[in-house]
Amino acid sequence: MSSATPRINFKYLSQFEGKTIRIIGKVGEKQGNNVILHTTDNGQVIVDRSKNLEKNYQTNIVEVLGIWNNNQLRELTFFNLSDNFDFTTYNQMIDLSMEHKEIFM
Amino acid sequence: MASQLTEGSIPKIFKNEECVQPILQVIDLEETHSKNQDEETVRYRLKLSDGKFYLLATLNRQLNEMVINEEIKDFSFVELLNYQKTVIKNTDFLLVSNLESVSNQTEKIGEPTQFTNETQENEIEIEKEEEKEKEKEQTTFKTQPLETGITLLRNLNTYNKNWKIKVRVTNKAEPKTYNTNGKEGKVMYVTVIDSNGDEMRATMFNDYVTKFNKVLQVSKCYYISGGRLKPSDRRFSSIQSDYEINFNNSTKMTLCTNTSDLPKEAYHYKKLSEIEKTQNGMKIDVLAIVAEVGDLMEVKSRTGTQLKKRECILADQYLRISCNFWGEAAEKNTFSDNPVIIIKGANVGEYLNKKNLSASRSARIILDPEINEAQEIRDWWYRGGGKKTQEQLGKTIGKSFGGYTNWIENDRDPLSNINDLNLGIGQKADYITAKVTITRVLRDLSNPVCYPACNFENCNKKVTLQGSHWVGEKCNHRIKKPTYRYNAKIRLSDPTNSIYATGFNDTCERILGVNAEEIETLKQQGRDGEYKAVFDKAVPLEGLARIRITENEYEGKTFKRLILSNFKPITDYVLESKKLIEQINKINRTNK
Repeated sequence: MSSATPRINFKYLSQFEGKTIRIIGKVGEKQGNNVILHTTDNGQVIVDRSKNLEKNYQTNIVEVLGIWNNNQLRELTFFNLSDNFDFTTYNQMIDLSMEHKEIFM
Repeated sequence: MASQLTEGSIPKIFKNEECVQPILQVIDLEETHSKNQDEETVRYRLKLSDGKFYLLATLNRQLNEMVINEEIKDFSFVELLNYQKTVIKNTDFLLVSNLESVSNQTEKIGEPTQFTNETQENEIEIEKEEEKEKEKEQTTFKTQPLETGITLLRNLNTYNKNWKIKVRVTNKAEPKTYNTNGKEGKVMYVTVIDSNGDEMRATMFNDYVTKFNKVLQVSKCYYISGGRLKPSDRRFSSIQSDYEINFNNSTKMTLCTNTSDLPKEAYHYKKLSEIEKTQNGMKIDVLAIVAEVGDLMEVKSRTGTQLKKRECILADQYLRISCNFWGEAAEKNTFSDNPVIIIKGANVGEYLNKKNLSASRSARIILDPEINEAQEIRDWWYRGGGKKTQEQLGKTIGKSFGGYTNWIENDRDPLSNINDLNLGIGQKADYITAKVTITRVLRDLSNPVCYPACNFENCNKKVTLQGSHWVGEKCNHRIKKPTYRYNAKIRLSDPTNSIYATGFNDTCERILGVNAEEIETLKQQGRDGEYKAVFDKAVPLEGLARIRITENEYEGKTFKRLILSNFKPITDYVLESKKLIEQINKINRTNK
């Protein structure tokens, strides 16, 4: 049974080692092929963009879909969001969806 | 000018009490010569007055110059800076060593008398008398009646027959006709207050209604004697009294003009939080602010009569409650500008586990009373108090055509609640706010989206073409050309159910984006593509629906009638998300 890629934030990353996930955050510093993503719950994730370098992030806040492995998120694709995003409400939603995994994941 | 003199300073000086640099008036300034061992000394004697009393004084010689150069003369105002009080030959004297001239005046202020020991004793007497008078005034409102022969309301009971009360009428309700068990009659209720601040209700029936209605006027005072006392029924009155009086053939009333001891009003109102503890069917007095006002509506009662009704929301710093006004109270009051309101004798009710209030003609409504609590509520309101979400004791109003955004802040109901909670039964309509998607707008021959409407004075009833004119089947108006108005069946769906609700002109216009005239024109001109496009835009539109639910009977079957009284497409996703999270948390809390 296929299911949608789960949406999580920094807090829950450890539970998804080796898995494909979506994570939202503010675009930070560029470090070669990597970009720092400041997640909605104040975490910092290193995004490895090697496979997707031609496409640039267009907004300040993006959702990155990738594989979480060895403390790095290998980007497969991303989605431009707005420059305006309610982090608090989003975090609450993530918490709820993790609480009710059977419905959402 | 007279106010410049320091009032009460002479008695203080006399009693050796502190009196800082009083301003006094010079009266009867005279020169005296005294020979002392060949030296002639000129001294000045005077009276120093505070306008009410004076004392004799002598100026020290160093101040003589002030008199000579007319800095000080008769009637001058002077500031007393330094003096000494002595007694010479049983008379009190002030030896003035320093004073300042303030201004020269031309006349004596008041009729001051010399302040002596006797004066002091008299003063004390006068003070005592004034104290007594004040006490008397106060006890009038406590337990002793000022007048002899008058009984206080609290002392009335079924045992004493020869009582006479002195009261002010604070409320006179409209006479009501009733019909119980075939007996018809008239009844009128009056509320009175006595010098003690206690209130009592009085009733009168049939002919006595006519008789006393002419006599009794609100805010006037009367001596009343004779009548039957009976225990009060708290279902019909919120007055704190064990008894009520029935005025009958033994009742005598005379207008009273000596009314100073009768208070104008008795406010025994409660905060909205008290309603929770009050039994349904009981009456209560409340103080609140009118937060929301509905339109004047006409409702059919169970007996078939047309009743006027106005739904409102009352609020105070802690709670909101739904309050319905009926009859004259609904008609007369538009409650514009959020007035503070006291309702005396509001009925407490309950609907779907939420308390509510209703006020009919027996209730007394006072708008913007001049009391501290009213000011407090008003201040809280102006500071934006009404905007913060308060816990609700009742439902919010669904206003038919736009205006209020408060319905959006309601909890979202799933459409399944309409049937699960059996909404819409009972006299009052129910409203829910649901998050829905518009899945269809019916537009076939048997369900046209709009109809030709009578445009004679906002009539809006359906008209049909008869010859050269359009005529209303129900209104009988004849008009040349009708105005088209929406009356469409709209299908709303959510995860729990799909329902059809009727949308009227304003709502449909908002959803479809074009007015009914335009739609009708497109249809009549056969512009099918454009016509279809309008509806394609509306489906599937996600939004918040305000649905009004009533129950109707048709050919022996009951069915729910749903009206889409308002629809707001979702634009604020953050707000919607917050609302959802709120509701989910509520479920989680109750399940834990």
